[in-house]
Amino acid sequence: MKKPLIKHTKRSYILLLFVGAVLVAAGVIATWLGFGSRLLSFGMGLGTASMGLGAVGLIALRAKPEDARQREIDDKDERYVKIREKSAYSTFFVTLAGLCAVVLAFVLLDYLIPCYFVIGLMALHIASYLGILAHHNKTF
Amino acid sequence: MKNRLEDIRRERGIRQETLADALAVSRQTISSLENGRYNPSISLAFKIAHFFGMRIEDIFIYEEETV
Repeated sequence: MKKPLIKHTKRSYILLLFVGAVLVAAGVIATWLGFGSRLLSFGMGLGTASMGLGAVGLIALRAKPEDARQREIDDKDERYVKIREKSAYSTFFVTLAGLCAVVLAFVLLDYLIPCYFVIGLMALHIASYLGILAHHNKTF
Repeated sequence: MKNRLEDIRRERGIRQETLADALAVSRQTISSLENGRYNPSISLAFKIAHFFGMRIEDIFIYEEETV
């Protein structure tokens, strides 16, 4: 089994939370002192992500084991999986219709370059759908 | 596809929650099965039949679709 990057323990999550808080605090102080830079923004973003990861991990640890089992059942429930698949399938067509509307709007506004960009996105959307379809057709 | 799941479950005095827990599915799935809104996969149908100690065809009634 692959070794997890972060150990699922209270100590690791508290450490993540602490490191994140230090990074964010350092970023805020540095900005306040006028040392604004891209690296600083990156550090603050990293700190926020670390704090979020730590907080989520701590909450997950506090959750009751019976709740975890129910969550797993709900996640793997075959009816729910089917609903998820149907929703994803419908979403594909909704997104396609949305992109068509955007293309139409760009054509009417005479914005040709953004229009070509959206047409490219549509092509990518359809190509990925067909590619995944062909892959599943072989594997199932 | 019709089924006798609700009748069989009630006959045996089993709650939907208990059945759902034994089959590792959600209670909503049991409810949908009983209402005939959802047809189970073959493996879930086998699990249900095993749970009640019956054959699949004693629980699920296959009806050919008319075109």
